[in-house]
Amino acid sequence: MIQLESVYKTYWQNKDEEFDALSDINLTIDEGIVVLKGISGSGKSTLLSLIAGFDKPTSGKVIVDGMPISKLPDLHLSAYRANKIGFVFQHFNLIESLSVEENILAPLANQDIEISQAKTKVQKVMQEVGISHKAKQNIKNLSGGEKQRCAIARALVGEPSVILCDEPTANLDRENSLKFIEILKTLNSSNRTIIIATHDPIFDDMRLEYQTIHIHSGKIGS
Amino acid sequence: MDKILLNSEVIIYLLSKSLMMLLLFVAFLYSVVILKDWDFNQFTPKQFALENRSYLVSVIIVFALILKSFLILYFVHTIDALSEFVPGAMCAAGVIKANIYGNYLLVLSLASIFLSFVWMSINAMDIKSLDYPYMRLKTIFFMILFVLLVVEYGLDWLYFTHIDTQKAVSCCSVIYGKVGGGIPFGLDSVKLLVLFYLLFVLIVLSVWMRYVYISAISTLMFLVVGYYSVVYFFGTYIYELPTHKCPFCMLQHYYHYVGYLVWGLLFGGVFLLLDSLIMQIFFKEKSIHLTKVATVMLLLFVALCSGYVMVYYIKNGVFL
Repeated sequence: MIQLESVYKTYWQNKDEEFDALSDINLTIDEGIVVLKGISGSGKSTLLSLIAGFDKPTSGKVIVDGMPISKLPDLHLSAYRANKIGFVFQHFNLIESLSVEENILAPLANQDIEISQAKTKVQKVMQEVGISHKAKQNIKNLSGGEKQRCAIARALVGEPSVILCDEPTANLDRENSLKFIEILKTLNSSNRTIIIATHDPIFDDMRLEYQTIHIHSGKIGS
Repeated sequence: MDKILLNSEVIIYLLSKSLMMLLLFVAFLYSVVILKDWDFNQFTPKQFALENRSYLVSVIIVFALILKSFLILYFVHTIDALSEFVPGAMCAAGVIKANIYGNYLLVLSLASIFLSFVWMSINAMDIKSLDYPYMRLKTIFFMILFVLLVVEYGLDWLYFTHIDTQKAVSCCSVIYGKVGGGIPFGLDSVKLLVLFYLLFVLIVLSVWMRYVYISAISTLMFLVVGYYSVVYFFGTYIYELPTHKCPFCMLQHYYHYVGYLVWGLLFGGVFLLLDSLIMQIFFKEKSIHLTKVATVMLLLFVALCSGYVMVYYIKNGVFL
């Protein structure tokens, strides 16, 4: 369960450019799929980065599975991200010089796990998202949809309980976006929380059960 | 005095020390704010800002203290290099006695390095925890350490500005030669050596059997006995001269700079072991890695010292 209590995030505090990205956010998110909707600059990505532990709030509590992550020291925050969070970025953020398999293996590098065991996990998630046939390919030889699947596999390989997707379909055509939503449906069957920040209307057209949260100018709307 | 202050080693040393003090001063100012306003149970903007800042402050302090630990080696090198300007001085032993501040400065430098090690251990425990349990303690400790470092910095300037290049000093041949007196505490070489090896065995056994208090006392005693053993016994084998009893000459190139290794292993090993024991006694934190590193350093120190005696005996068939 993810809880946010009175969360504020202000950038450039006490400067001329001061900007409130989030104001008084109070949320409780259970297992399942949650879609955060809002226009660009509404605060969706900021909210995801606070839940992911990439950034800290200016004030307020962010609690994930009972752990107040907004207060975690950096050392523990890294462990939290490695063990609990899978993140799918809008621009995929894959390492171009590595192969698909190596990119997916990367999050396991710092974990106390046998290499053979790690490779088995990588094979499993590649099959799950349908990218096994490109395992040895270099990232720069992949299409947008394949890159997306590789990014999803990388997010899944650590078996996180929370998956965060920031504008996951923004760089995909309709066909690949639909494939992505199909993958989401299969992931939804396991006990996970999946949060998708998007303004893509394709999610409205699909038969996908999810909770919707609207964000306007850093505030939760109806 | 101009000759001293315009010496490149002195300039580098004082500039590095000034930079280090500037960093620590910034950290000190932030520490005052942290100490005043810290309340981990708060989720306010002020507390979040303090948490972010405290991490930055501890990184600055750790960097400055590590720099400080290496600067003592450069300090010793600097005073050794100054021996050519001070009449009568053949090594750092003469230069350190060029005025009343030298010895105080050296002792204070060593003490502050030891306290720096302790601070860094407390800091490591603090940032490993979930809720910064030692934030207040380490901040107060740092403030005390900072005062000590300010005194040391003042002594640095007093020392280097009061070296008289016209006045002759007495150096190691006079200070430590037979005329200058023998081993303290009424010990002779044999008793000193017996004590040296016995204390080392006691340290290894007590560390192995985890008798922390015995380890702490024997380590402290080993620091004193180790120092005198090097100066009055092992050093003579390094110099291959029974009357040459100087802690500084072995830092010179004639002796392949072995003094840095000898003193580095002794002081480093003792400080790290005491640090690890303090963590065990006061914080119930067992740092096996730190204890192992310290014990290995002391083992290397004993082996190095003993090696010089053995090599001399093998080469010459006699002891000095």
